[in-house]
Amino acid sequence: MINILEIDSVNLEFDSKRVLQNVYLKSETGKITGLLGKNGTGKSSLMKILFGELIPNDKSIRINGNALLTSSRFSKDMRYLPQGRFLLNSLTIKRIFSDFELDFDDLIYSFPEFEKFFKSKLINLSGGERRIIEIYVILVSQTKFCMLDEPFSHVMPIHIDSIKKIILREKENKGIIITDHMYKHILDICDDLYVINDGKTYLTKNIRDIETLGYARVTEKITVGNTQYGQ
Amino acid sequence: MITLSCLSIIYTWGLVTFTALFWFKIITLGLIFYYIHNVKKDDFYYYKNLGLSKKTLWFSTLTFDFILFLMLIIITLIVR
Repeated sequence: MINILEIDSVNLEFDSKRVLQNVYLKSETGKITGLLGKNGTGKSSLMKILFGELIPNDKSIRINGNALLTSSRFSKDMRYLPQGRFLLNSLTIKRIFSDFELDFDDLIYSFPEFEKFFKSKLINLSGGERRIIEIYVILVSQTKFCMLDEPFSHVMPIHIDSIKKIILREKENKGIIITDHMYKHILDICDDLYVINDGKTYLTKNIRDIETLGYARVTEKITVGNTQYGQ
Repeated sequence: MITLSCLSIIYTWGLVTFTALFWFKIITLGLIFYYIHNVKKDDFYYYKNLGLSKKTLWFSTLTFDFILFLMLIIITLIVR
């Protein structure tokens, strides 16, 4: 079944400064939706609004046409990887995998060096190792949509490749929204790409959009969905 | 610790201290709420990703703690 998550009519202000307005974003099963934008343009805020953690002045969020009217979210509907840490230091990986109903052997398949951590508490892991566990938990656990806020930060390149493979595998059964300033990785895997500028989202159609909106100068040829970016 | 301190006081001084202890408990619950809500706010994402909202967590824990406090006070007064 294809599930569709949509958000529009967002009006978010901080201290009378308008951050988001006329936003529209759509995610659906089988697609990776990239979200780019300069610092402070509201990418994380938009994800928090979707997850019910930030309440704007106006908003309309729908899953398969059904409006989400409260800030509560069912885990079967969506999960969210925040920019900062979210797993509890005192928990073991065994316990976390049990809570999220995940198979540890599947993690070992992608990250063999994590085998020794099964009974370790999270506090004993490095920042990068911890981030991989966090990404994996959100990405692989059962849900319709997952939102990843800067998943590639603090992760070494070889692991980024493994994460990208998992993202591409998981998009088969969920919709994924992803934002990161390592935008080449985003362009590499996403099917749709939105850029936020001046509080509005723009669904990009070609390379000029990303450059015109002032986010990045793309010099290499990159294909996003059916669109080719780059000179 | 807070509840145990209250039990110790009410065991020693009796029912006359109940009003003060009641408000002491309410104020400490408020302080705990303020501390966790601000300092430990990132931890809530763990529970929300499991489908547990802040409201559910706070309502269940604060209610449980307060009912436990009242029950232990009553038991202490009976035992005294």
